[in-house]
Amino acid sequence: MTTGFVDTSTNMVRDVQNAIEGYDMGALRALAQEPVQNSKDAKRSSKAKIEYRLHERRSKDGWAYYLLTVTDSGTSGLIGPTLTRTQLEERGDELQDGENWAAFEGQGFTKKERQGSLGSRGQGKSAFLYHSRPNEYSLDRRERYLMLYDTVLDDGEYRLGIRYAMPADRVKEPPLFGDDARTAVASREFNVGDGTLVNLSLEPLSEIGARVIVPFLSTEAITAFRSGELMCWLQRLWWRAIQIGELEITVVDEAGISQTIEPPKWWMVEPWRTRESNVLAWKDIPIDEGLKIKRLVLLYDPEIADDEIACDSDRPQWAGVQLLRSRQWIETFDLRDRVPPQYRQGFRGFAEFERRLEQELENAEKPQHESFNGQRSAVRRIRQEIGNRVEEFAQHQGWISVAKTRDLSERDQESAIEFIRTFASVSGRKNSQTSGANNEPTLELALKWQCSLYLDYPTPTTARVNWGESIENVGITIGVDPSAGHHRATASLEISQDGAGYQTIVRSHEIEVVDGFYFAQVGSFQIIHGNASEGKIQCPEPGEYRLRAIISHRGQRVVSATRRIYVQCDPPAPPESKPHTLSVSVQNLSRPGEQRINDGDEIAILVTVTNRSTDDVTLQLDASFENIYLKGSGEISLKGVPPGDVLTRKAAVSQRLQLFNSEPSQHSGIYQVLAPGRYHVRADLQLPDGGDVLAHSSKAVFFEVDPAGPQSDLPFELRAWEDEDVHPRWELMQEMDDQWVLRYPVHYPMYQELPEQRRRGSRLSGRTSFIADICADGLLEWALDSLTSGDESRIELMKNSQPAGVDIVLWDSYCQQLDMLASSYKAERVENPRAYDLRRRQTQAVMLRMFEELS
Amino acid sequence: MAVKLWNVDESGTHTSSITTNRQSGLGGEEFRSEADALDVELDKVLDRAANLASPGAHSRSNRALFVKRWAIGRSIAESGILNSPQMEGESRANLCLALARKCRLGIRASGDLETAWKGLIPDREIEPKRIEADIFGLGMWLQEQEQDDAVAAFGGGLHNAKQIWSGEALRHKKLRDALAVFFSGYNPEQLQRLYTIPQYAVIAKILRRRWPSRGPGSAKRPAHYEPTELLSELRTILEPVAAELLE
Repeated sequence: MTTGFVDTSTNMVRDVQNAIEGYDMGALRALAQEPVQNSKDAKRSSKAKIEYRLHERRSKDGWAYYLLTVTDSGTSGLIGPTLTRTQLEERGDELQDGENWAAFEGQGFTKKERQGSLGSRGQGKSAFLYHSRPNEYSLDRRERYLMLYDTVLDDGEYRLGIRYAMPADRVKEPPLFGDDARTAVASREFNVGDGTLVNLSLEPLSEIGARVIVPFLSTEAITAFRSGELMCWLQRLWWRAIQIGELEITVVDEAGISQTIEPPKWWMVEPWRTRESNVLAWKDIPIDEGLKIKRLVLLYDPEIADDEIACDSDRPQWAGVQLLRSRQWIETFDLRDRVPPQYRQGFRGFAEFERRLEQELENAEKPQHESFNGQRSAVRRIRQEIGNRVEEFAQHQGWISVAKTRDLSERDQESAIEFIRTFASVSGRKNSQTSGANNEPTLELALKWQCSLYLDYPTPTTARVNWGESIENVGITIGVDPSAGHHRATASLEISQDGAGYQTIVRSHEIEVVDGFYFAQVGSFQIIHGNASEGKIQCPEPGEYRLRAIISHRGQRVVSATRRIYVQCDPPAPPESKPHTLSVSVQNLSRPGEQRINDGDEIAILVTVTNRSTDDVTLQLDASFENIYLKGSGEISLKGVPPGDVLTRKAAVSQRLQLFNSEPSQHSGIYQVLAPGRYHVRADLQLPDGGDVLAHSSKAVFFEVDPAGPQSDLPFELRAWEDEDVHPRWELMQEMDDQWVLRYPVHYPMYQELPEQRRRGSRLSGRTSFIADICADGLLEWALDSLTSGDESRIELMKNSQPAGVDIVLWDSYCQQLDMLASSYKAERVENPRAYDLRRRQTQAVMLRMFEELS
Repeated sequence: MAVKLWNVDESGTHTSSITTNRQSGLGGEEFRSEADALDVELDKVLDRAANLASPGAHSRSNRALFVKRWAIGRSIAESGILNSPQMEGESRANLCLALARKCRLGIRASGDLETAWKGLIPDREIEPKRIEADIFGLGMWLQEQEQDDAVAAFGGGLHNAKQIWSGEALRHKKLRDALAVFFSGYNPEQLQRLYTIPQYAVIAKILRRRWPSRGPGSAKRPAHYEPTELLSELRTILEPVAAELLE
């Protein structure tokens, strides 16, 4: 046994490890929490000062190590008598208030500590010991911990104690007193008792207080000191006590550079005292039987950056509502389910409690002081109250709607579903043909047809054609997938002015598409004012004309492609927009229309790239589905669009894939084995040399799980405000679970004035017309919203939802309008909002007309 | 298969209960015999893990903790227990909790005490879901690499591994293999600095930014690269950062 030390049978090394590894947030939180808590409990003046200081020391042999000292002043120091182990045992390990020295030296956990204040020294001494690693600086690699502690009391007494865990718990009895203690702390070669020499070289304490010395500091603590992590923990824990002047904490590095811990910038000026719109504060919120939350403050600041320390725990530190007990942060309620995703980073909150509730919380607090027992009724009630206030705050900030919603009338719900499904539902896709744009890709269940219409304008840089000039080299390419075999089809070329009343120019005999490809050279056409004849097209009026190729298969139009010409006039200047966009679609080939993909189902993935600029471009497309990098990714080239012409689209990725939940015994073709869950097809568009992502799109794939929501195949669901507050005619919101909801007020005057029943034979009458109107508006907003990231998948979905029986001219016009809305989303919406809104209302009108006319 | 959860009562006596996801009328007791059989298998898993983790089994150094986590993952993977027919329909979390309890209490299926398992996983009791994700899930992930490669990829630091694990797009083994090769280009003194938690956190942050899990830039992930292409990309983005960190 080491001379002067009292040994116990306790395995202190294991106890310390168990105590500190019980901290969910790690040993550094313990180091920032426990020493300060002890000092705060021992405070004898208005403010306790605590200094964490790092000291570099060298051994006699020249190797470097570090000491950490944590010194407090403004406290009583480690008061009380020094008790020997024997004396303590004679008292049954019971300590009185004020016997802090004995408590700090207590072997294991004394009864004072078990019963006493939460600032017990049990966790505190472990927090220090854990970070001392003498074995890492010695040939003896056995785990052991070491700390020294000195104190000056108000009667001038000076003591130095030593504690060693090796693994038995050893405390020096008696400690060093007076000058012996002062000499020891200043020593360059202090023998702690077992032959270990420590270069302390410290100034003796000059003020009443205590100091703990941790020699051979752990690498973890040194790096936390240098990286600022220790300061971050101190700020999270003690900012409120610092703010009200109860504590002053400084951190001094080995170079003597000092940093004072301050409250975070968002709480710095106590914003609850002002009436800023981004802050809400409540006082004296009743909980139960007179228990109250003394103060609850919630704040949102978009400038706040994510500042969570990465640690073992997934519980938040700042990002939620901090619960402060005695001005000490204990736990942060994670309320992410009540704050929309886009506002979470800038959301902050804290709650303080009145005295009686603090006492309740003390009883509910776990030994590590980093969480409360959530089963306790007071904690549950606090969580509930805070949750309610966070919801109120979210409403106040306009993040979520104020009013309750109610179940819709069955008729409103049916009308909404019918309308939305008509225009934007995979399962609502009732016709395989696509029209409206050049090289428009289509996913057809059995055969996938593609078509492109080629022509050369008289002047390559513009779609203008004057009377007497010719469009040359008009040709139609037809593609079909799967490519194997022969497929019969017919191709026609039509023209119309402003998309109304197409007139056939050329109708082909039956053609045979072999090995997936056919090219029809149609020839050249002169545009003339007078009567049409062979090789001449009559365009009697100046203006926009559309030339359309139509491919029919087995009597059904399966695909089309359109080009524009401007006769005797210049095309409108192209709107500035995101020049390159993407769209991603995923179709369940095995069970068409079903979003859920079951084991063995085949899916088709289509990624389309659009060039809206006048220049030819080469872009880098990356498209993936989980670990599969989809074929077709890589560099793709797209031709520029002459002003006025239809956009250039390319179906860059078109892949079929079978999904299984275990390795299939027999299979041909591409497949992927997945566990049930939600996965994503993702696509990015960049310039070939990298740089910013120009466009991004993704599409969820639900494998062996059901998509969320009652009408999950629809872009959004309809709900109603039932209160009589003033609400907008409709509002489209994304909820916490990322689902979209369209709300409307049932007390809206127009809605109220309309009859509930609709007229017989009319799809749009009574309140149904109101519902259809807001659904059309809502659909357009939903589709355009994703264009901010260059994702036009939703526009494409709407264009690919052509209902059976719809007027093809109206549908074409509608697709053109959608394209124009997408093209002008960036610039015209801002620079000429009237024109943009008009275009949007026109599109909405076309939707309503088509819906009305559908049988 | 039902699992046996060991516990210790207030008098220090070891007790056990049976838990299963199947319908049970007797608190799972009707499945005790199969739970006992599984408990014997779990002994083998833990023995193997302890064997893999030696000789640093009693050390609490960062490296030793890392190796223990790797070893428990490798031992579970080798046993094939998670994919056994008996586990069909059963919760992995329960199995992980059973393993964790056996480690914590150091108790074999026979009721004998076993000290060799002590410290294979953290002693503290945490939620079963977290045991599954944080301890066994991470261990299973780490063991996809051989031990030396895993140590080289993360400097033998569990915290460093979690930094990479936290980025969903970064989880593919290809990236970890490439990281191991990337770090092999530095000398031991440089590695000691790069593998420290704050320095490695900078590296992990750069990687998470380069390969985000969602949103723009998330389509092409390390999983989609050829090994040489990925290593080249890693060098392009990490070498300047490493140079700065080593200054």
